[in-house]
Amino acid sequence: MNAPFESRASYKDRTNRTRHRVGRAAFGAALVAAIAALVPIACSGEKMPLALGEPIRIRGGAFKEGPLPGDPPGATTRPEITAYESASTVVRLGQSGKIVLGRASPEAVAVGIAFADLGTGHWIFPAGASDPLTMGELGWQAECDFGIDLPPGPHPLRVVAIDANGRAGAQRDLTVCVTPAIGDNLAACDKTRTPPAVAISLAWDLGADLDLVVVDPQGRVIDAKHPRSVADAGTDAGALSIGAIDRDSNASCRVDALARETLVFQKPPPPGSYFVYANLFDACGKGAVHFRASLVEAQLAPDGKTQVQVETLAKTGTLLPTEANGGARLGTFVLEIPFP
Amino acid sequence: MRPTVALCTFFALAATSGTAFAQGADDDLEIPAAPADAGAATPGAPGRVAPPPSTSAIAPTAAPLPTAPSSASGASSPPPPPSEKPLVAPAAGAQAGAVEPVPVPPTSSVNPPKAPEPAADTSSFARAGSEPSLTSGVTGPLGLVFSGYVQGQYETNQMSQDQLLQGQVPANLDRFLVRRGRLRIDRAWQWAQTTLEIDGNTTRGATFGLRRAEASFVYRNPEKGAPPFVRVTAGLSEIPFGYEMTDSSRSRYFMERSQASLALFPGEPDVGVRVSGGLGFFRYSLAYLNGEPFDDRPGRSVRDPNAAKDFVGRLGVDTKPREDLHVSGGVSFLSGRGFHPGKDATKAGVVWRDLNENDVLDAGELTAVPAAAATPSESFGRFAIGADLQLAFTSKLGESRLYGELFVAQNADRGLFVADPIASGSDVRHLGYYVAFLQEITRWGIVGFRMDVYDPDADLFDTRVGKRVPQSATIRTYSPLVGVKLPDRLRVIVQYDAIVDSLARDGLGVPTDLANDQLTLRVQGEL
Repeated sequence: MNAPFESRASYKDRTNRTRHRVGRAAFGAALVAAIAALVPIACSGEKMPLALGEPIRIRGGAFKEGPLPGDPPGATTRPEITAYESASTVVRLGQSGKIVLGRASPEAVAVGIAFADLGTGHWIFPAGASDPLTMGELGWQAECDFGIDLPPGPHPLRVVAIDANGRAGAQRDLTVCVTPAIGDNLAACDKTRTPPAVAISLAWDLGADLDLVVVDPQGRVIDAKHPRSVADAGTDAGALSIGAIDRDSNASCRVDALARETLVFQKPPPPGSYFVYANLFDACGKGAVHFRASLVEAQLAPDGKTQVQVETLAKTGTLLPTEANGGARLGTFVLEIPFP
Repeated sequence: MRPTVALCTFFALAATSGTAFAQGADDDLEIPAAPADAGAATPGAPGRVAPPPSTSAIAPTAAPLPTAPSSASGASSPPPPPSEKPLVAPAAGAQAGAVEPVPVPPTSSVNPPKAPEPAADTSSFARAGSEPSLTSGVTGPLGLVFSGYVQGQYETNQMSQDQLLQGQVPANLDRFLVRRGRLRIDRAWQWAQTTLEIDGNTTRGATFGLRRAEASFVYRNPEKGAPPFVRVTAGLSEIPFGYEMTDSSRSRYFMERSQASLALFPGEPDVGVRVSGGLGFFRYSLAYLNGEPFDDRPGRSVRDPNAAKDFVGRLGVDTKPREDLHVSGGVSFLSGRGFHPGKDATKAGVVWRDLNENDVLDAGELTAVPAAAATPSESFGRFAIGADLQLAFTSKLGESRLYGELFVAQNADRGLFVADPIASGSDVRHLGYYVAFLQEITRWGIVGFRMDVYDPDADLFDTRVGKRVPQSATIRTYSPLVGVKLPDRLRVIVQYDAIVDSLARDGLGVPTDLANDQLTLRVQGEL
């Protein structure tokens, strides 16, 4: 109803303002209500990170932050892991598909696994079927992928069984030996072993086919096509080593995720200067390749008894795709290494 | 069955209304009743299109066809004779269905003549039947009508990680992208219409592709704003199933279609022929299509692999029982055959498995893989049925819209958990539905909420401690949105998608909700 003495225009203007106020209020109320209704839902949900930076990944498992639940190894709490084994306790850097398996007591529903001394969390996966031959114990099996930057040496791979109430029992360890990127004859895990005397290694960052090429003091080429050095006539073959390149990494652009080739001399190589080249065989459609060449030598550890690998020389560089030559050239000169 | 009861009630309601709803329920553009000579149309006359001031002038876009001009003004008359002269789009403020500008006599400089105001922004609730192209596009030479829009957005997802998935696919989901950039060209005559639309986006890398390419024979309804009696369309066009499939991405406020719709139809268009139209409140659309919806994902093959085609259709009503209430809905069906691809022949090979994990080839670790013959491809039956209902109520606050849809399907998931009963050994049954509410806050604001549910496999089982137990793979999405807009120019919308599913594993290894909620901020501009 019009107010006394209020003009029609004034009335319309006031009505419009009122309408806008109502509109804004309704808008705000609806917004607040929507947000309030959604908060409980929005705050729910389980994160499923890829966890590619973790030292171990379990295919089909769920990664959980935090330490592995359960009591330390040696406890007798249930549910328990009744068997735990693997075909090999050696773990190569970046190894994929390693199987660890075992059994758990019948009340378990899931199994957790983690390195006891590495990583930021643990993995959970469902337990398997009941095995009538073992009094109803549940079989389980985990397919493990390992990180590319694990510290070499022994590491306990710990598992635990979890029951339907989420209660974890006693943990159980299987110590695995992580070998370094440059083979050390398992010296990192077994102090009675000695690492190779010399290793010349070339590593790179992309899926390109890069080759380590070494020219020995006699001018002979050691590369992927000629992976072994030749001992000189008249030398003491027992004292001097024959070197061998361990693999042709990313050969024919079949990417192996290692991207590293190493010339290994188990014993000191023949004296003289060794020239190291990095040769881009095939860029494999990638861009510039960054590489790192290094010399690793066996030296006495501080304890004065065992030997350890020590990097004594290294150099980095970059190769452009235009430098790919299919093995027609030696490649880019990187290092000269004189051996006494 | 509850959906049946709802539909019966709905049809009963529609039947009580004798008014024909002027808005086209069809998905295509509707050219208002056609004059034999557009240039001779009488301004303001019912069923006539006001000619543009100049066919080459670029006029600012106006509001698209209002939702529902009263049918009372649509005096029926026989369809006009065919004409080869193109129908051209009205310019701003003179679009079909809008109040024609009334000549204003010159007055004093204090009260200059007012320019015709654009119609209220009803594009949001207008169905694709009044899609803006021919009503608010820019008329160019030869009577071509150009229109388009750009959707740029920022989205962030709880699942995002700075990693690469297998195959070098980025796992990062926090990004800016152009979701849709579409340019459309239309040309229409009395008895024919042709449309070409291209789409560019950066959703999965920068891509351009065909979005619509269709040619139609049209037998028009002279009633103003009414859909044609018959339209026969050939080419790449929308799939006439349900409501969302034919709802324009340009006018839809929610960022994407519901999960069930996306699963059954990875893309909106498909190639084939279609017959559609309306009479009074009744709407129909029947199509015979390849059955391979066009997806905007690059590299995804859309070539039809089998001779069988999909028969798709929707029968519905569109009515206005009261001046401020608009009711529409329908039932849809799809029947066709999916394709299970056979495998190529393979050569013999050898596989090394390092059983003792010593990195050395030992005896017994080589396995021969014999050559295998090619396996035949097979087709399998699939179907889907659906029902949809839309209610729109106009008040002083703005328009309120409540709508929903229900799907029941078998072996029809082609986008999410792709159904292949040949591979799985049994038919895969799907169920999906959604309910959405939108409320305009004057012309400048919008709030909305949608809940959609999709169960990709009603017969799913999981394994727990060696035993098979029923498992639900249902995905529920709760999507509130809020936005502001400059009518027909620009809109800014924020939508949060709270997704509840079973894609994660909890501390017991049991499927649980995955943290994959998404927040999207979208800016949409009109061309």
